[in-house]
Parts: sequence; structure tokens; C-alpha cells
Amino acid sequence: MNGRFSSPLRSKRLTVVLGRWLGIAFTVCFLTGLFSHLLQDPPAWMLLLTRPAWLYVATQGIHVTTGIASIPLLAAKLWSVYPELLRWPPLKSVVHAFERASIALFVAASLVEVTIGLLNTFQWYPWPFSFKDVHYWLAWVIIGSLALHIAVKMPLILAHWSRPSDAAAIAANPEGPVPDSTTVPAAVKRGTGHGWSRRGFLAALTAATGVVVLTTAGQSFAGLSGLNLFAPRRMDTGPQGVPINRTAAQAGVADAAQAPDWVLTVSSGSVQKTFTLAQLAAMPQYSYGLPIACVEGWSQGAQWRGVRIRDLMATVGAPSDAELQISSMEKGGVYGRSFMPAAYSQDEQTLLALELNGEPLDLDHGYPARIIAPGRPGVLQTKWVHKVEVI
Amino acid sequence: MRLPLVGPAASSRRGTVWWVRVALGTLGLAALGYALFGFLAKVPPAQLIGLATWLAVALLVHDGVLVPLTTLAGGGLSRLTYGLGPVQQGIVRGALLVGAVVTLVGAPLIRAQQVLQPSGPGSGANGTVLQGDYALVLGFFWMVLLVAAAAAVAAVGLYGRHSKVRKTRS
Repeated sequence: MNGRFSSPLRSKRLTVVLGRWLGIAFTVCFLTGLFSHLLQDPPAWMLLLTRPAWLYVATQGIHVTTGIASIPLLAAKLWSVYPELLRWPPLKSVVHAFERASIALFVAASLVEVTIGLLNTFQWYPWPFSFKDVHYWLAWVIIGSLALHIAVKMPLILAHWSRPSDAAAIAANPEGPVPDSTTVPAAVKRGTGHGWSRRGFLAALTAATGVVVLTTAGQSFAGLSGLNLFAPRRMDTGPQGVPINRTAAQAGVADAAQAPDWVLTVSSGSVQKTFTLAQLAAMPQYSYGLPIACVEGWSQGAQWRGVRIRDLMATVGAPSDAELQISSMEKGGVYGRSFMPAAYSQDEQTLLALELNGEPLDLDHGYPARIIAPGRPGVLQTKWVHKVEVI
Repeated sequence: MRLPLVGPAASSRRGTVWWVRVALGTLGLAALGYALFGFLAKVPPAQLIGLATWLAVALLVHDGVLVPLTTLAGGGLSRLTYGLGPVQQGIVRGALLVGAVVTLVGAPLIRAQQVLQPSGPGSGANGTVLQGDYALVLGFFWMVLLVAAAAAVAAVGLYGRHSKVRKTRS
């Protein structure tokens, strides 16, 4: 049975090379994902950076793009060790059983993680669990399994870290030059006439990974937007040239947001003030070019104009180190309200925006007023704002 | 079989490697423990059952269907490309690998469009997600890929014949 799945291409060296690439991809995904997770619910110790304003564009764009790149890398890595699955006897000892179970968990968690991550960028949730919780906790399963896997396999990894031809040549002639990388690969030399060389396979895998990266990263990085063929998002689309996470209809706020009696309530302790849209527009207005960057990986630079949040806080005498709670007309869920630590509210570029790209906000962009702050995930850039409170 | 290189440095490095392994193993177990705590404390049991099902199905589909299919495809390809040289076989396999990976990432977009985009005014649908004509683009991509691969295979064949002729003459 095992022999049926043998291929001259599979080797420990190939697995080590693929493992290195995938290990790097998973680590990058984990770190950028953890950063995003912490930003959404920042602990007290966290340093909150508002510059560069594109920080979250970069980290989340890298998170989603690296996640997409890890799909072919994961497939290739698992393919390279497939015969291990069929090895006989399946269980040799208790320790062996434990190792196999840990690998089964590692593999299953990785497959599910990249799948739900990709589908989340489509806003498609065909599973019976919370994406945010499961994606986060599976990430810990994967990074823990990765560390454990490297610890267990380290002797094999070290033994196959260098090319076998190089390793053999160095062993034979330690004084001589390192053989160049254009030497004919082993599988070709064997002349099996079946399949391809390891180097050819790695080149094809690099090409495949490069193609999926180049044809999807344009949803996050403007420089690649011209090649964006297979991403769920396009830059410069949507009302006022900016994509939307949730429409007013989806949020169920279309009527409330357009009501003529809309007012913004700002409060600090017992002091409370209300502002009509005309009163907000009469306050000093500031305009900044800021990106909006969604946890789903897409981002878009735009010109926002409105009232500084710190000016609004000053109208009710709020202390400058106060944390704010921003409430949307949308009820419940993660979009219903957000919290804004002082690091953001005191930044001059953090606005209650009334205009986008030179026009009043479109209803789907949060008319009559929305939050825009530098360096924050889009989910916290609350739309259809009706209340700003010091907590 | 060549033995892996174990140079003289290995013995002096052993101490470090052992400590790195212990540290990585401990950190890995700690992270797994933290994940176990997180799942039990933060995810309701009904969702955990759903997740367990997804994990099991992912393993079954990957190990029981997808990898055996690639093996079958690889075997079939060997027969189909028997007359080709190693470089040409590499080009054919490389092109198919690129196409398969792009399809793996691109095809779910097509399915998601069918599932997620209700039509008609007032549906509240988000017109800024999944708006590409992904089926057409994917078809076009495959066409370009196959044409390019066929051209490369032919070019390698012609070059090979040409250089053989030159070698014979000289």
C-alpha cells in the first residue's frame, strides 16, 4: 500500500525545505493575527501606535496574503510526508501514538484554519461555530503544535538542512568550494523518466505560490491592485470609491440613519451635550488621508473630513486620558459599539468623519457620522455613530 | 543512500540543540494547553462539536480524497508524457501544479458568489465583495497557462533537436 504512494520526488530533504517555508508562513500569520486580535481588544499593557497610519494595512494585508500563500505550501508539505500516514504498524508505542495524535491535530487544525480564513475574506461562514473565536484558538493549537513538531523532529531537520549534494561534497572535500546550485538534481540524474526533479517541483511550487499571492494581494496593497484577479475585494470600488464591510441595509440602520431628527450625544459623567449634523459641520473641520483596513485583509486609502474627537471631548470637559465608548445606531454584535483608548482619541487625525472623498458620507459608509482613526482595524471604525461617552 | 552530513561541529553543538528542543517542546505544550483552556472556557460545547466535525472531515477529505487523487493524476501523467524529456515533463507538471493551486484558491470564490449574492434591488447585498467574474478569469488563466506550457514544451523539444544536430555536425 505504502509503495503505491511512493514518488522519487519525496525525500526528507524536500520535507525540510517545505517545512521551513511553511513554518515561516505560519509564524508570520500567527504574529500578525495576534497583533490584530490584541488591537481589537487591547490589554492595558499594550503600546497603541497611531503612526504609521498604514500599520494595520500592512500587518493585516500580510496576515491574509501569507495565509493564502500557506495554502499551496501546506498542501505540498503534507504531500511530501503522505507515506508516513500509511506506515505499518500504525502505532508502535504509547509515545508513538501520542506523537501521531499530535500530528493529526496539527494537520487538521492547519487545514481548517486556512480554509475558514480564506472563506472569511469572502464573508462566507458555512460552519457551526464562531469564526473569530475558533480562528484565534486554532492559531494557538497550530503554533504550539509547530513548536512541538520542530522539537521532536529537530535531529532530522538538522540532518537535512543543507542540500544533500552540498553536504556530501563538503564531507568529501571540506577545503573545496561549495557546489553551485545548477548541478543536475538527483531525480533527473537517475533518469527515471517519471515525474520531475526536486528543484523543478520547488520551482513550480514557488511559481504557484507567487501566482496566488500576486493575484490576491491587490486587495490589500495598492501596488498590486492591477493584478487582483482572485481576491474577493477590489480597491476603488463601491460608493465614493471605497469598499464596504456591511451595508446600511445589512446593519438594519437605513431608516434611523436618515431620520431628520438625528443628533449626536456626547457625554462625560453628568455633562451631556447633543449636536445636530449642522452643528457638527459648523465646528472646525479637519481633513486627512487615512486608510481603512478591514480584518478581512482588504484596505483602501481615502480622504476623510470631519470633527476631531478630542475637540468633541473638550465640549463636555472630558479628561484627556479618558477611554471612550462609541455607540452605533446598529444594535448589538461587534459593530454595535467600540471602545477608544486615549492613544487614539487624543490623536489629531482621529475624526468623527462627516465627509468621504469630498462628499457627505454615503449611507453605506456610515452617514451621518462615523469614526476614522489611524492604525485601527476597520471593525473599530464605528459607522452610523449616535453616542460618544466617556467611560 | 547518502548519509546526512554530521560534521564535527555536531558534538559541540549537542548541548545547545538539546536545550532548544526542550524549550521549544515546553513552549509548544504550553501553547497547546492555553488553546485547550481557551476552547473549553470560551467556545460553547455545541460549537466545539461542530469544530471537531470540521477537523475530522478536513483530515478525511485531504488524506482520503485529495492526496490519492494527486497520486492518480501523477501516475496518469507519467503515461501521457512518456515520450517527453525530463525538462518537458517538468514543464507539464509545473503548469498543472500552478493551475491546480490557482483553482484551489479561485474556485471557492465562484461557489461563494452563488451562495452569498442575492440579486435584485433592496436585497441589501454588499456590492463591494465577490464582484469579479471569477469563472471567466479562471478559465482564461487556464487557457493562457496551457498555451504557455505547450509553447515551452515545443520550444524545449525544438532546442533539444537543434542542439543534437549541431553536436553531430561538430
